[in-house]
Amino acid sequence: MRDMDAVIKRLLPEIDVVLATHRSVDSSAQYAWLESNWERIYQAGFGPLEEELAKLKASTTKTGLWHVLTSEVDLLGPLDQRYREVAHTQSLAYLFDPKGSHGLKGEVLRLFLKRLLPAADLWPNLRHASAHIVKMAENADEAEVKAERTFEIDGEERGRTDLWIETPRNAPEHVLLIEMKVGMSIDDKQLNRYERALAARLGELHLASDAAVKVLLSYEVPHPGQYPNWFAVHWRQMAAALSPACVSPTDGAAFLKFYLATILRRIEGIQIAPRTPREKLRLRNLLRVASEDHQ
Amino acid sequence: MTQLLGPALAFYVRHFDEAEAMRELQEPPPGISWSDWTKVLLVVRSGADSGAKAVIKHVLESDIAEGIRLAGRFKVGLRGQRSVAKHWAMEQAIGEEKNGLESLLLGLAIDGDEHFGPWLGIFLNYRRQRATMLRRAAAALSTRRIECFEKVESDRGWTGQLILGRFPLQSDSTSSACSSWARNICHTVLVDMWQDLAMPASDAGTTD
Repeated sequence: MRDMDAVIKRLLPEIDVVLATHRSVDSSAQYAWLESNWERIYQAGFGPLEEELAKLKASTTKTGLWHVLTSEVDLLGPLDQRYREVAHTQSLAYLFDPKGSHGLKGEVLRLFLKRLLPAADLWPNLRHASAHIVKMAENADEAEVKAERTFEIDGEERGRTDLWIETPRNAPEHVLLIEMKVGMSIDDKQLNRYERALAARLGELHLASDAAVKVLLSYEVPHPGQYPNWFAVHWRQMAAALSPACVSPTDGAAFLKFYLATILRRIEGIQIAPRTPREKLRLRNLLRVASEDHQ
Repeated sequence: MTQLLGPALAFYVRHFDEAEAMRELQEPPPGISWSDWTKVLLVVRSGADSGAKAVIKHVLESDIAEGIRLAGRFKVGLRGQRSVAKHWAMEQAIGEEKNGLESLLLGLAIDGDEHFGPWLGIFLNYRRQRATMLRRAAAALSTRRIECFEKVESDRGWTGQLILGRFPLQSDSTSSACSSWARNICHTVLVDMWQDLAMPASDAGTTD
């Protein structure tokens, strides 16, 4: 039942588009109805919001996400790098690398992989990846992380993938490819090149084609089915998923906190003390995502 | 002096704060039937979006078209897929110039925010080396006394574009007021400043 709820939620944004192709509100009587019922519908939607938000905020206090949302400092904002893809790539490469000086070992990568599991359970095209993701998470402390890995296809086309992760380092059994988009749209040809590069590498490693997990990390999550073999993750979802690792009192956790604050506070503009209904709704939606992650 | 906004967009603009919040609800509010919820969605999502598209098209086809024709090399009606997108904002490229992998795009958008309310706006966007180019552009614009600011709200599709001006939209906004406002800024940018704003060939990057 919960799966069905998730499917419906994911499809809801499309429903009005579908409806609009068949019907439209075009009579003055319908607008008159809407004017007279607007307040009732609005109150039904936003009356309970304060109460739910208060509960969610109470359950979030002292969590990693709370540390992020209350941080006055962020990593990339003061450097004027918040929309620079390379800066995000390098930041995540550092955090995902278990050998990094942050001291968090494979924990950040493990949390990221865990975020993929609900989608793997939900979508038939991704279901095969569940077991691989679990195995990669188990080997996260032994991951080899490469940022901006260059590749060549048929000795001609060259390119660079954002994040390329193989586990375990010494005898790779799985490859995780993460393509990030900060402000730019997803480019079909680019993804096609990456898939070819991935196929070539899997061939070198004598691994089956399903040993690779491909992730699109973007602010513009594609329609379900648009890239059926890629996991689509919104930056906001990723930030919520990684936030539990912020709670430890280490410099590495502080780095993670400041980086996630760039995403949630500086780019997403999420306020811990929202004023308008829309700001409250956005905070509520984020806290819901985090709460579902932890269930 | 004809009224510009269609009924759905006029409704949206009139109830801006509530409509903004309502369109982001992911499910019908408790106690609201699907039938009633559908009526709301048809206005605050698809209806407002179609209305915004119509406004952009109207403004582009009226006074700006002549400025674009004078400037010579620009495409009208190109969809700015790499710039502002989604939310209820609709954008349309007015001018685009490519230089290798670089591109400079001038666009027209409809959007809004909690403080300013709904607006029609003109923006500049760069595909690559955005931070560097935006700084250069802001400096060039200031010499022409065009105030600009970077728009950084990713949830609405804005990710660092430079807004060159915002015209407040009201439910009774007229086409002549909107288009003459847009024409003045676009003419200055397209005809007088384009070369100052475009990416120099030597700066073109090659990364994915």
